[in-house]
Parts: sequence; structure tokens; C-alpha cells
Amino acid sequence: MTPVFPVIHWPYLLPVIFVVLGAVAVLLWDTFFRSRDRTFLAALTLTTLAAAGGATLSALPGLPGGAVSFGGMFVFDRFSGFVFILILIASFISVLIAAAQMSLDEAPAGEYFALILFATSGMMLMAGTRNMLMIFIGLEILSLSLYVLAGYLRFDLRGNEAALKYFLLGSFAAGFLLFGMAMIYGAAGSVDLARIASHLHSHPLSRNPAFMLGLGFITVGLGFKVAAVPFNMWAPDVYEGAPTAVTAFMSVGPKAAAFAAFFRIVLMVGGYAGENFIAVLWVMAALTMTVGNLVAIWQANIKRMLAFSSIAHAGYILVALVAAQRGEALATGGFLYYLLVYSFMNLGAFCVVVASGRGGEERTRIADFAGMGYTRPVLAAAMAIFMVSLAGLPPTGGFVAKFYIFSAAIKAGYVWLVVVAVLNSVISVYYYLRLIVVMYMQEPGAGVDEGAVAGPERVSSYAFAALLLAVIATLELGLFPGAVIEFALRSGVLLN
Amino acid sequence: MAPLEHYLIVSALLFAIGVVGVVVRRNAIVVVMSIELMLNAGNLAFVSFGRFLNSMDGQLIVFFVMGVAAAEAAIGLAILILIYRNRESTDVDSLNLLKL
Repeated sequence: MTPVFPVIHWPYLLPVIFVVLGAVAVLLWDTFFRSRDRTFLAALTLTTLAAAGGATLSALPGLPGGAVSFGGMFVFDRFSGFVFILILIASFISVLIAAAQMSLDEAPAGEYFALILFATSGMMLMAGTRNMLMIFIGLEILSLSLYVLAGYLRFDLRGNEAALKYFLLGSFAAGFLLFGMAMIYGAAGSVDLARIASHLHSHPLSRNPAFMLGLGFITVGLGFKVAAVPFNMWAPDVYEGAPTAVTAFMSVGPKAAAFAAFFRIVLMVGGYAGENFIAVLWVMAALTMTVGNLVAIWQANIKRMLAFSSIAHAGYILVALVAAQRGEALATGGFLYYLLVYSFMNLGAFCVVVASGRGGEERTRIADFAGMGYTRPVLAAAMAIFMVSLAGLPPTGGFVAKFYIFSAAIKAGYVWLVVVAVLNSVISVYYYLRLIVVMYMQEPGAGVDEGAVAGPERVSSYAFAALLLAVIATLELGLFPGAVIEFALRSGVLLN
Repeated sequence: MAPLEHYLIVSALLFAIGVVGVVVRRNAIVVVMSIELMLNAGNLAFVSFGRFLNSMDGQLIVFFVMGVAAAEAAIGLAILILIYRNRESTDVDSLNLLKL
């Protein structure tokens, strides 16, 4: 038998190659020229991400629908392209936030940025493949980097605890994912989603226990990663314990990558699984929204509140998944748009949390934000915009994104799910707007620094850049969504 | 050769032991070992399916999974050593600074 060499489209691989090379460059630079200064390494990381973004953008126009490299291990279609850009933007802003967080100054700088880049490469590989093995490997590259990042402040006991909890529950989920993949491999004879789909087309397996068990375990594994209820118990603890810049990163990028992989699996294979599978996703979406929003109300710590809010947002995205499963084209485009808006507003909110800290100390209680509208007007105004957008009110991006997802679900016939989702949005308005009330209508509590009131507001230039990007994007995506929506809708078509 | 079911039953048992170990045991090192058991249950399933389907994929995947599992063990043990140095215990229940 003569060996067949796989087709490789190098130009489409360039974004991933850039990110990996950048990570190695950061590590090497740090090894040979070890310095306490993080500025240069941050700049190198940002350049790498920008170069990868440029490579993705320049590869997109000439794309005839998609290109398959390495026999399906790497698939670059419009869907991958959009998710790549989204992930790179999220990493870019996360690096800016990390550069602004002072408590990270005491920790070694090089590994931090290298790990962010490695995690980014894992996310891209996970989103740009139709092979389940590659999804597993991408997920592990991403997760292993994040376990280390969560415990990055080595002498912080809360960070240690967050890292261990994340590691134990994350690996537990990976075990489920792998076992589920093995079951599907056994039932359908391949780990390539396209081949599984064509096998299922000729041999329906919706009554095959191994196949259904496999799909269920994969749902558990990916459900952990996106923090869907009932697999969400790690999220609040890890979000609270990890350094805020890391929390910002892991609340956005990994979620986007895991959802992209989830969408690909459900869209290519889920259609052959029958009604029960849709019902499971339906219940998961409803539970995730409701639990996330209801528990968020009681949180006194802003990082925990944002953790539950991100669980709730995973629920809204699951609504899009349920609708997309019915073949509703609007749903996949709406999902991509939602992820984009969510990245900007969530990263922005975390950036305000980082920037409002004083010195190396972080202020994460909601009570700490009292009176911030007067002491730090710029930060408070930015936070107010992000909260309005997270709540899904016009004129921000959050409103448009929710509108598209909900109308897709209604078109697909899930009226009751949309009713649940809208009720949840109403609940969420309460705790998002409560923060605005605290910032503008309460007197600053004891221990607020007097200097900030008198002198001009000081925000580090990195945080300012991140905030500017996030604010402009959140408003722009709400006021003039046309071009991006069109791009997202065109990207919603998967390569089969 | 034993039929496929036998291998799958062993694999399912290993997986179940792993899951129970993660849920029941309180020592973090034992929990990590149980997680490794779950991954190896997946490996066994892949290998036996590969053998019985006459496909090389299953046999190949196992090498990647073993590599991933080794990296995971390295990072997990590093985190455990860090925690042991900082608080002299690897009991999962003693990790209660962050409220559940």
C-alpha cells in the first residue's frame, strides 16, 4: 500500500503557526533576557496576536467555502475564520488587562504571556477541526495552560485553591469527553465528524446505546467547559480565586472555543440523534439561564456575580444551539454574533474590576464600587455601559445579539424556551442595574482613597486601551450592527 | 480471542471505578489517580474498538491520549506540591477558602 500524503493548505494554517511561534519566542526571550519588566513581552504577545489576526483576515476573502487540511484534522471555513478572529480579539484584550494588573508584577512575566498564547493556539485548533481527537487535544492544550494560569500567583492560597479545583473538575470532564468519543468511535467507526455523519446517514444509530451514551458523555464534557448547569459548580470558585486578568481570559476565550466545537458536533452529528437529544439540550439551556441569573442576584463579590452572569450567558448561547440543531441558519450566525458581543462586554467589565484596584490590592466586593460614579467617573461610565449591554438593553450590542438568538429560536419553533429566556433577561436586569445604582446613588463607603476624588483619575494606559476597545465595540455592535451581522450570518455555514 | 464485549465491560468498570474514586475519595492525589483511570478506560475502549473494527485510528489515538495524560499528571502534581507547601495538606475538604 502506498502512503498517501494529506493535503495541507499552509496559508490557512498561518494564524495557528504564528500564535505557537509567538509563544515559543516569548518563552525564549524570557529565558535569555530575564527581566522584571513586562512591557516588552506584552508588546511581543500583542504583535503576535495581531499578526495572527491579519493572517486570518487575509485568508478569508479568497476562501471558496472552506479548505480541509490533514484529512479533516484542520478545517478552515468561514465558521473557523470568524471564531479565530473572535478568539484572537479576546486574547488581545486579555493581554492588555493582564499588563494592567499590578498584582501580577511580582510573578514571573514570561510564562504568563506564553501560556496565554498556548491557550489561544489550543482554542483555535479546537474551533478549526472536524476531528474529535483534535477537539480533545485542543481542549487539553487550552485547559492545561489555564490550570497553570489560575494558580499563577503561587503564594496566594485562594489562587492555589482555584487552580486545584479547576484542575480536578476539568480533568474529570476531560475523562468523560474522551470516553464519550471512544463510544462514538466504536458505534460509527471513525472520529472524523464528516465520516460519522455519512455513516449515520446510511445506518441510523439513534437507538444504539453506545452512540447515545457517547453523545451524552460528550455533552457532559463540553458542558463542564462552558459551565452549563448542572456542570457549573467549579465556575464561581475558580473565577473568584484566580487573578482577575486570568478570570477575564477564561470567561471568554475557552467558552467561545468549547461552544464552537459543541456547535460543530451538534450540527454535523446531532441531527441523527433524535428528539431526546434536543430535549436534553433544551432542559440544559433553560436550567443554565435560570440558575445562573437567580444565583447571581445574591452575590456580594463582583467576580462571583460575573461568574454566574457568564453561566447565564452560556444558557442563552445554548438556546442558539437548540435552534441551530433544527437547521435554523439564523441561529449559527446569531451565536457567532452573540459570542463576539459577549467577549467585548465581559472583558470590559473585568477590565474595570482590574483598573479599579488600588496598588496591588484588588477591590472585588460590590460594596467597594459605592460612589465610584463620583470618585472614578470614567471607569464607572464604562462599567455602566457594559452592565447595560450584559443585561441586553438597547442601544448596546447585547440587545442586538439577544434579539437575533431569540428570533432564531422562535423561527425554529421553540416559543417556550424563548419565554424562559426573556423572563431570565428581565431577572438579570435587576442585578446588572443594581451595580449601576451602587456606583451612582450610594455614598462612597469608608476607606475610599481621598486622592482619587481630588486629583485626576489615573488609569493605566493598557487598561485604558482595553476599555476603549471594549466600549467602542459594545456600542458599535449595538448601534451599527449591519456589516458585522452580515459577516456573522455568512460565517454561520459550516463546511461539510 | 475474547469477544469485544469483554474488553468493553472491563473498560466500563475501570471508568466507573474512576468516577466513584473522584466522587468519594478526599485525598487529592487519589482523585488524580482516579482521573487517570478514567482516561485509561477511554484508551482501552479505543484500542479494543480499533482492533475489532480493523481500523488503525483507535490504536493511534491512544498514543496522543497517553501524551496528554502525562502532561496532565505533571501539571496536576505541580499544583498539588504547591498546595502542600503552602498549607501542609492535600485533603480536598480542607480547600474551603472559596465558599461553595
